[in-house]
Amino acid sequence: MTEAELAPEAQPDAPSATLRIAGEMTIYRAAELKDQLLAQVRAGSKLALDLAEVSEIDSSGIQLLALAQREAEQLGLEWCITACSDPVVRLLSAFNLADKILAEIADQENCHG
Amino acid sequence: MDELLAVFHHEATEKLDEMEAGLMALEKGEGDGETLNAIFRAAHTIKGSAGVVEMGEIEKFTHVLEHLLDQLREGKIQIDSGLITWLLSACDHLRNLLECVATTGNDKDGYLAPYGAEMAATLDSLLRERVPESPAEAEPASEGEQPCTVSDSLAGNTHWHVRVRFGRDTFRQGMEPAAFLHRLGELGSIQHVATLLDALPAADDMDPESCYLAYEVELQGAAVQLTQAAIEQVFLFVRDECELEISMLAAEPVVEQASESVAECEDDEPAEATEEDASKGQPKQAAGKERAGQDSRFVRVQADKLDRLIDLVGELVIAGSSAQLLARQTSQVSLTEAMLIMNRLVEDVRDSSLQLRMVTIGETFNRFHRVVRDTARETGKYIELALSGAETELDKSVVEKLADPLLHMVRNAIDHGIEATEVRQASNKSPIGRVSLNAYHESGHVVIEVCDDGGGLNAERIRAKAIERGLIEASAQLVESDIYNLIFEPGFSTADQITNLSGRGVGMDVVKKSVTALRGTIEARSKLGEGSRFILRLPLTLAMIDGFLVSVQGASYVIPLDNVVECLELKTEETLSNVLSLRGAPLPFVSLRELFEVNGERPARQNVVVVQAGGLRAGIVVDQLLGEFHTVIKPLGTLFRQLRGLAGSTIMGTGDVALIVDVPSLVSMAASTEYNSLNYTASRESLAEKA
Repeated sequence: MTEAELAPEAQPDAPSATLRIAGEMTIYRAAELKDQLLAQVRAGSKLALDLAEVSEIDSSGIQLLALAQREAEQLGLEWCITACSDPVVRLLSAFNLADKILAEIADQENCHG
Repeated sequence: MDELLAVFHHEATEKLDEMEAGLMALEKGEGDGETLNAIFRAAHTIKGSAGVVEMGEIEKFTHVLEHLLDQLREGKIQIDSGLITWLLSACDHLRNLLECVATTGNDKDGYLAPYGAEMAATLDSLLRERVPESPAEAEPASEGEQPCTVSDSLAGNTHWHVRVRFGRDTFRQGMEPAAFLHRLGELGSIQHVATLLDALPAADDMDPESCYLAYEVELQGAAVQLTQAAIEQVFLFVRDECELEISMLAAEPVVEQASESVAECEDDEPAEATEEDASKGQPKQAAGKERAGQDSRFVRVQADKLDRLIDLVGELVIAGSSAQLLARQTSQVSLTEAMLIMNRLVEDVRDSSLQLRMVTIGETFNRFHRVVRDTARETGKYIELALSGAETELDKSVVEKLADPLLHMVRNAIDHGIEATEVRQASNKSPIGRVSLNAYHESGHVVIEVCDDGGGLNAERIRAKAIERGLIEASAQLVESDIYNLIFEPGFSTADQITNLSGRGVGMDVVKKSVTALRGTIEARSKLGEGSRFILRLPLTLAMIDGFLVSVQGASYVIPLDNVVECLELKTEETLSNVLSLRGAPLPFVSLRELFEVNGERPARQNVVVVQAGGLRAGIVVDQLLGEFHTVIKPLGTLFRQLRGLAGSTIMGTGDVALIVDVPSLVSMAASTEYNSLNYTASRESLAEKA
């Protein structure tokens, strides 16, 4: 249960894709997650992140999210997080990064549009 | 009581005094949020110390106090007179518990424990009557982001700005930045967090296992627990690797430690912003350092060590003067000079060590606010207490022994002196009675006055009572001042009602005894309808004396130098009975030879030492005048203590004993009505003739 997978309906080279991360987003998977996130960002034109099944997240995970977001912005891509589990929301709020990173969480149409 | 308990007792008593002073200030409307905070801190300290010495009852009870004070200072309940009264009673209860500790070594007393429970129950009902106020609404604009200084300063809050830049290896060391944030949130209330991601490098260069995080936190909390040290403590485990910067935001000067705010780190992040903020924080920390420094200027010394030192200094003085005497006899100039220098140094040591025992009377005076408040309430009168001369210094032991007599006199003044409010208003007096305590130095003595603007002493009633009690003859002619002094006789009380407060006339004579035991005098003055004034005169120190040496028939006597006005030769042709003419004015005198019934031939030439005490002057006739003499007073043994005219003894350089003359009693003897009524009128006439 610790995989990042592409949403079934998306195709690898489709312009927008949803990256679903499940399980732990912690230091132990940081290296692996970084590669996947960056690959995903650089692959498509829009990136949607589904974090509904993230069971645990730590600061390294937050760093990665920030990194991915910045990269997306620099590449001119749209970025949004479509769903978020509680641990993610909590940690983001603690760091007061919720507004910055969770923009348009409810607005799924934008992501898939 | 072992030493640890003794320290606890002493400190807890000091804290209780602070609390009472603060509560009295609040009651008068003079206090503010900081006062409440100080009272809370005092209670908190007592609770903590009680825990350390395992005085569970005190700890438990203080906890109740602390809880109430906490709610008060956070504004959840408003302070009012009923709560202040409860708090003052709670302080009394704590004093009783401390008393119990002092006498039995623990705080478990069969009576006190249920009393404590009763007080807690009373508090519950007091609180139920007062609906707790809802916490102050945050102003719409600030939304908790900016400190609301008015309500915050009332609650004794501090605001801090904390910036942390974590080191690269933070994750590798198993540390989690969010955990520190959480811990800060427990220490105080987080007003704002800003996470800084500026250290995050380009995506390809970023090492996912390195930490690039930094954040800034605005923290607000109670000054008691949110200190710089506490904040630094939070980051203890990452201190070496991170860049930590703490600075205070609001103007509350409650910095408790002056430690450095910037911890250097191995990280090579640009530090310009760091320095700027650090310099902003410095001035406030400097103030804190100063305060800490001031506290360390005092040293706690045991009283008996001080007494021992003064004893030794006294012996040094005696040994010094005997050495000087011997040196003079050798007539070796260099030796004599060396002795002079040494004696001057010894005098300085003596003066300095006596100074150590001096305390200001202000501490004692301050206790009277509480007494006046309570007594005024009990008697239903309105009383204003005026204190002056609080900085007047006296010997520590004198101050301690004075506390009870002064207390009694103040209670007396309120109970018997000040009339009931209606009576005062009927006589066109202010409804508020005024009691004043005044202290000042006067010619080597400390004078303390207790005055009131009440009804004054009724000479007629005193006289009648004295006759009734058999103290004086019905036919005795007494001047007003003598009548007033009758109130100091044992068993004397003119109160129509024996009140609970001042008791049954056990008061003034005990006061006089205490004052006399301190080698002082007490005098009563009054104007009927206007008020009374009690004047206490006490020697500045009990230990040493600057004296004037005289001799009668070869035996030495010391007259306290402070009382000496001048010396002259006795011209027998200008005397009549016991009065002599001093530049045309009559001066009563006492002859030591006659007084002490010294056997021997009266010498051809006698001398008079003119002394003054208590505003009166008299002469003391002696054989020879021998000069100034500084010496230590040795108390007279119990056998001799009742002798009138003697205040002590001392050992001279030769080893002989010299008796110290008690000037006030000699003066009153000389000037007393006994003598005067016999000779006065006749003397005046004869002197006038001769002049």
